[in-house]
Amino acid sequence: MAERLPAGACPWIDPSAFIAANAVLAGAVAVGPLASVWYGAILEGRDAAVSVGAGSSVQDRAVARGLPGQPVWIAEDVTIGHCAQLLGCRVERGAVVGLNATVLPGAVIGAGSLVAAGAVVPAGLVVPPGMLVAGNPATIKRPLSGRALQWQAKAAEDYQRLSRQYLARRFTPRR
Amino acid sequence: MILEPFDGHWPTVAPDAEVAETAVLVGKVTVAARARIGHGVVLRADIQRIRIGEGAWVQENVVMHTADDADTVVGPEAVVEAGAVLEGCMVGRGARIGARAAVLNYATVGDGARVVAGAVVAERQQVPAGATVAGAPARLLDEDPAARAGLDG
Repeated sequence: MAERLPAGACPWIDPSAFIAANAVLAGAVAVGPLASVWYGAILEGRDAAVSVGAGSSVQDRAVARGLPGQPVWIAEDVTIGHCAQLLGCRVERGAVVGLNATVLPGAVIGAGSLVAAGAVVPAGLVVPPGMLVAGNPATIKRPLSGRALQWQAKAAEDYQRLSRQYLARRFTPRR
Repeated sequence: MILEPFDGHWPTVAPDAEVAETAVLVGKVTVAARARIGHGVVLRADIQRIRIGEGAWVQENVVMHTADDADTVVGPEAVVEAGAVLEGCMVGRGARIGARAAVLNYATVGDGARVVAGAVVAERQQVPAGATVAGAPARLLDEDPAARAGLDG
């Protein structure tokens, strides 16, 4: 039987992380130093934990949902693109999950790998480090190289810089 | 709507545009007259500009951002269906981007073109005016009406 987390579990956010005004963090969620969670993103940690490592970004409207017994583990310097969906899976250091991609339960995205935009990574697929994954259902295409590799390496750094600028803003909200 | 500045720039919304209460607009965003922005939309112009043309319709949960060096422009009377994602790209007048489709950096969708639901228009890809594309990466759809059956909705 699936066990739910204690009702009291609540998010832990490093003070140096940026959390957008309308992001939702529920239950056992941890967001590490210099990480960022963007507008409309949802980290749902009430059934199992969701962890966002140092320097990682979860972009606008992305969803990460822990499933009973299958937490979501996002390591350091990871980029989760706009509207991506992560269900009970692991994304290792420096990997990129493209916009609108889906990663199903039990899948592991290896360090520095790139999941193409719109790809659907099947449940339990283990992607070795440094690979390009694409398609629906997604398959491992080839080792990353050339422009994709450069872009992937830059993605986390760009968002770390951007989130610092957001944290430095001072304004009176308008609606 | 939720408006936030970035780098000193506030979004500007035409008086007769309609922006839903839960939409988020950040930075250099311009929404022209008669445009409609749905619930849950995020228009985040913190690097370059986002411009929504006159009478365009941006439906629920659409997310737009920009490239490092390219604006995102949605032409007049264009429709961006629910859950679509646009990066720094140009969408022509009267074009239609299907639900949960994506248009990546530096791509162009011509006037009146159609991107089918769930398609991914690749970086730098050009969709000709009036064409229909489908799939990931997006490919021109055969003009054979039978091949297009079931895609209109």
